Amino acid sequence: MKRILLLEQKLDESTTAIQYAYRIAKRDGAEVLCLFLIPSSMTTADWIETQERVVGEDIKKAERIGMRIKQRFEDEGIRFSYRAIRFQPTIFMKELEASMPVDLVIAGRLTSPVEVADLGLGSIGDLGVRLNCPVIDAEAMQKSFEPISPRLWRRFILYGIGSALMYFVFFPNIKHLNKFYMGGGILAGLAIMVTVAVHAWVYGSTTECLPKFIRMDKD
Amino acid sequence: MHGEVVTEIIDKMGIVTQIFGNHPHYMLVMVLIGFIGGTLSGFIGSGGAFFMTPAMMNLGVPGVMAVAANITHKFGKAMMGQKKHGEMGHVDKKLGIILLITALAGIRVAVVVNGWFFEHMGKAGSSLYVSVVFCVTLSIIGVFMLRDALRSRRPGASGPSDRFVKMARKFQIKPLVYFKVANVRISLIVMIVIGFLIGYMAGTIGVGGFIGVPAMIYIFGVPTVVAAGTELFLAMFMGAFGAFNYGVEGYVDLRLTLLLYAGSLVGIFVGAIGTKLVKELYIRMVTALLILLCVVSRALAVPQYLGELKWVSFTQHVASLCELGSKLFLFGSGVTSTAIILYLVFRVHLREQRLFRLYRPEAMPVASIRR
Repeated sequence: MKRILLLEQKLDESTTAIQYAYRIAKRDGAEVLCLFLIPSSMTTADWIETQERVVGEDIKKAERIGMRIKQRFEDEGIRFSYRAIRFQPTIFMKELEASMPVDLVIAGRLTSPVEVADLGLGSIGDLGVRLNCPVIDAEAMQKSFEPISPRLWRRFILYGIGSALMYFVFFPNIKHLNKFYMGGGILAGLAIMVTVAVHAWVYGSTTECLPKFIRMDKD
Repeated sequence: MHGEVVTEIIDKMGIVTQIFGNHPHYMLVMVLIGFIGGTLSGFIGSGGAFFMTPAMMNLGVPGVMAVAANITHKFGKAMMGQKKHGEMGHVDKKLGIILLITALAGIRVAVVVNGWFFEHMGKAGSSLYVSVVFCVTLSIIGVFMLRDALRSRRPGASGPSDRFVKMARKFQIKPLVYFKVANVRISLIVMIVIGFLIGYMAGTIGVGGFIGVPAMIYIFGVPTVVAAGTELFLAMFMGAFGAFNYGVEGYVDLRLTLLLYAGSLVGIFVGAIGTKLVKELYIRMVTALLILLCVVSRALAVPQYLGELKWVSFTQHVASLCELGSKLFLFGSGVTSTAIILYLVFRVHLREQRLFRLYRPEAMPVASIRR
């Protein structure tokens, strides 16, 4: 591997993405190009001056951090270059194209602005398709190798028992309960709302755990 | 050619008992319907109701009870779905709340109208009304969305069509309201009208998202994922209000709702997570194709209701063919599109897992960057 592109929105010297970029570059003898993405939104004219000041300060901070990271990488024999850019659609796309070709993209925690989402880049997967190279979400990768927490297991079991009770006790008696629920009136309407809300919460809290067990949901 | 209007003394509680008594396997079918609806709902922000309402009607549930069960189910499903989308930053609550206020008025009007058809024209009349509104509305939306999705595949084109957004901006009637998460500015008057229509559709055919999501994307200019998440936020409150209203009128049979939940609350999380993994264009294409196939399905069911109302007479053979065609199109489209979504989601997930295994930290040299 020759070239890694690192996309980072968080202005910190030791983010997960930077750590991974270092390790992979060290292993494969690759160089690293880092784009610090500075969010900015120019939608409200009244705030332009304030936003320009804030963006300017963030760009300077990113450049200071980039300088320090560059020093540390080059101490370990890894070529490192960086740029701080505004996270706006045209600028972002222009910088991505100028950075090509790369062999791997490592993304830190990116909050994709809605403008970029409108370019069809709403997710990491979209970025990989557009750039035609693998893209790794660094934090997602870190989370996917963490063990499943006991708290998740407890939640699954507790709500699972509640769900089982709702289906196997409540449901068989529904014909009798329907005499009240389908009798009409405000009380019946309110009772239906409460029943479905409780059931959805209990059963939904059980099923919510399933994608986490197979690492599809990393939140 | 119009026959007598058939007025039936309806035992609402007995209808579902009879359906499940004659076809016990329909309970499993209901769970599958829920799973398909939930997956679609989480993935495209809507699509649950436009599939689930006609699917239940295909099993013999009267139109008004199918809508009642679905809108009640929508409440809890949307509550869990928007929770997930909210965690991903896809919900513009301010936009949702403003649309909600007028949507509630629309729902109330729809409940009254729907109930009138059921009480005065019976099960067949109610189902005919729901089917006609369904076909007319969703065929327009489906054709537009499909054309737009196909246009987006051309090189240089990306994102949804902004033709209506530009038109709407020419007629921006003040006051204008800015929405931060969606990053758009919208006329309050336009929002009131669209909100009322969303509510009326939700109350009539149990479908709000397929008015709301395209309206947000193509008229307001909201990004697709924010439209999907915000619609679920809106659907939660609309579902609660719809559940209450239909519950007051006595049309909600909780057996239907609980069976829908059994499947939908599994599918909705897979679908919601899929929006982070799968390309946005695929979301729109699946949505458009599915809408159009469901419209065909509903249209094929109309002859049956016309026959039951004695407005038109068909031979038994024609009636059976139409009924079979309706079922095939509906379940075929639902199963196929859910299978496509699951394939896309799991393909990306497995690819991601392979990539992670290739670059996992344990495989790296021990030395790490030092401060």
